[in-house]
Amino acid sequence: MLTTAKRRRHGVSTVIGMSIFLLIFTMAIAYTFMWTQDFANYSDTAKAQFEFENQRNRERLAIFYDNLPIGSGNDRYITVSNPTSAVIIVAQVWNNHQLVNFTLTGVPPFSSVNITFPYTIYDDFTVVTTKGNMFYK
Amino acid sequence: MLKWNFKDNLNRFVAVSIYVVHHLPGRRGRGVSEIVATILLVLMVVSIGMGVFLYSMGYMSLVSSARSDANSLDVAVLKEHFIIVDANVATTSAQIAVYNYGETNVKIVGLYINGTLHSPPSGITILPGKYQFINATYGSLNANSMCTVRVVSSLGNYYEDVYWVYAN
Repeated sequence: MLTTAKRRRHGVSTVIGMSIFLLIFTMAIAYTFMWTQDFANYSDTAKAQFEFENQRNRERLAIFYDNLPIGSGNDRYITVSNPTSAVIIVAQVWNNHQLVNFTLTGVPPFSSVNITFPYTIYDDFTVVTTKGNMFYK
Repeated sequence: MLKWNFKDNLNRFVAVSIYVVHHLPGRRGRGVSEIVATILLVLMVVSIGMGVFLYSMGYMSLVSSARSDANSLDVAVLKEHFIIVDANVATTSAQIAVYNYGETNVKIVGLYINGTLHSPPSGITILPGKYQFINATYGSLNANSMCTVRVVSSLGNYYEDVYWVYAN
């Protein structure tokens, strides 16, 4: 009985030390977990951006321009052809440093669409997609 | 905020402990009693332990905060996307159209023409899916030649291309 009591008294500081150690250890684990979460968040973003770059690199467009009026008006149009298997969204059409069309226009896979704009004497066009690609005529 | 000076407090505590031990009644005759020794030991463990705990807590908090900030910045850098969609460069002025095709705002803080900085005064913010013109005037560029145009964002990303210089 005496030995047990003695042991208990001797173990007090050990218990306190162990408690503090456990506190520090738990805190370190918690912070490590937070860092891991940060890294996982970064990895997810990097993966998403990598996929975005892949889709961006797959975009292709062919552009045709005949300088023919639409009906009896003066408006003209370009024909944008999408030879790929994914939808491509045209965001802008530039002509002679002027933005002539800023309407989002989807070009279905293996299809063509006409994009109209006011008459211009210049026949150089830049078509910009929502994924940041530029195609020239 | 609590400022824990571990070294000073430890030195103070050890000095007090030695003083107390040397002035205990019966010190010369019977030595320090077991209870007092245990109390001293507990006090020492608690003070040292708390010192280590507070120090490690401050350190971890600092490192964690810095790591979190750095991570947020890295993620923002990855998500930022912009290109020059049109550049009308003349011999004494230029108008550059920058398009933001990412999902976050882009702040353009620098426009370099042939390596010379023509900064927007307070930066130009471009919303996702929008474009903005950046204008610059300068001394003189040779007409009918090529020039390099670079736009730099506040996060350090840049887009660069070569353009024709038109006569005014």
